[in-house]
Amino acid sequence: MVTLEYPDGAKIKVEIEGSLLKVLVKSGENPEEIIVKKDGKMIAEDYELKKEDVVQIIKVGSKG
Amino acid sequence: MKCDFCRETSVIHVRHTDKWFCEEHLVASVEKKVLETVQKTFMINRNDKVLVAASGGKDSTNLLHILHKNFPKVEALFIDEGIKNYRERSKSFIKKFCKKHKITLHTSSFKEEFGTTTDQIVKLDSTKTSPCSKCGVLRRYLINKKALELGADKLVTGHNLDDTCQDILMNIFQFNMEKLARTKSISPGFVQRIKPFRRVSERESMAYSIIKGFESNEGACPYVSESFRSLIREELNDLEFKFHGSKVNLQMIFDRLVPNLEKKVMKNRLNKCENCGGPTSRKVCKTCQILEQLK
Ligand code: SF4
Ligand SMILES: [Zn+2]
Ligand SMILES: [Zn+2]
Repeated sequence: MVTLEYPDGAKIKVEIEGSLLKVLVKSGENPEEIIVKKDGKMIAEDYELKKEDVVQIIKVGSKG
Repeated sequence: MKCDFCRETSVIHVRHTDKWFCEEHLVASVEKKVLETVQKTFMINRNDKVLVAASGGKDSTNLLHILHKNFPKVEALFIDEGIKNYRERSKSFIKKFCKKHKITLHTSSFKEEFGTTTDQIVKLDSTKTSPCSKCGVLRRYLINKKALELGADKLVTGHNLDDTCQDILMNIFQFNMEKLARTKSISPGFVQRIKPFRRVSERESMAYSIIKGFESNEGACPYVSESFRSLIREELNDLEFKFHGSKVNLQMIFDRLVPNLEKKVMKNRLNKCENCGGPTSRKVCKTCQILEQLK
C-alpha cells in the first residue's frame, strides 16, 4: 500500500505498487493537476513505488 | 526515466511536449519559453520600464524573477484589495521576495485609492453578484493607473497557458464574443499589457517555483467564483492527460483565428467611454460605473 499525503493533512492509502503514474490513476488523481514529492524531492511518473512508500501530493491549480 | 537533456533522473514529465526533465533542465525550459515569447512577439525592448503586476502567487513571482534576471528595468507592483486573511499573506511573500532579490516594489491599495476594500464592497452589495465582477475591474483600473504614474512602458501579468485556455473556452461557452475578440493589448490611455508566461503551463510553473524554492501564496481568494472555471479546468486537464498537447493546440489555433475575429466583432462595437475615454461597448465603461457607485 502506498500512502498519498495531502497538504491539508489528509492521507489516502492506495492498494497498488508500481509506477507513480499507476498509483495516481488508481487513486483517481489526474497527474496533469499535481506534482508529487518523495522525501522532499520531486519525482516523475515513472518512479517505481513500493509498499510502505509515502509521497506528498501538491495540487497545481489554486487561484485568486 | 532519464532527463531528455542530460543523464540526471527526471523529476517531471511535461505531457504537451512529451519531454522528461531533471530540475535544472525544467528551469531552463521555462525560462527559454518566456524569453522566446518575449523575443518572437517583440514584447519588451531593452530600455523599456517593465512593471510586473505581482500578486504573490507562483506565476507572477516566477515571471518577476525571470524578467528581472534578463532585463534591466523591471519593477513589481502589488495591489492590496483588502481581503482579510488572504492578501496579507500574499503581501508578506512578495515583500520578502523583492527584498531578497533587490527588486523595487510599489504597493497600492483599494483603501488608499477608493476609500474602501473588497471585503466592504461584498458586505454592502445587496445584488449578490460575484465579488470578482467589481474587484477585478477595480484591480485592473488601479494597476493601469499606477503603471501610468510610474511611467511604465509595459505591464506584465502572470497569465499562464492554462489560464489562457480556460479564458478562451469560458468565453466560447458563454457566447462572450467581445471578450473573446478583445485581445488587443494596446488601447488609448492604457499601458500596454503583455503576457510572457502564456506558453508555460500551470504545472510547469508550479514545478519551477518548487525547484527554485520560492514562497508564494497558493491559497485561493475566499471570493473566487470558481465553479465554472473549475469545471473547465478539470475538463481541460482531463483532455490534456488523454490527448497530449490539447492546450497548446487550442491556444495556437485561437492565436491564428483572433485577428479575423477581432476585425469582425470589434469593428462596430467599440466606443470611447464618455467619462474616461477608455474602450467600452457601452456609453460609460464598467470601471467608471463602479467608481461612480463608490462615491
Ligand atoms: S478572485 Fe475575485 S475577489 Fe478575489 S482578488 Fe481576484 S478578482 Fe478580487
Ligand atoms: Zn537534465
Ligand atoms: Zn470610463
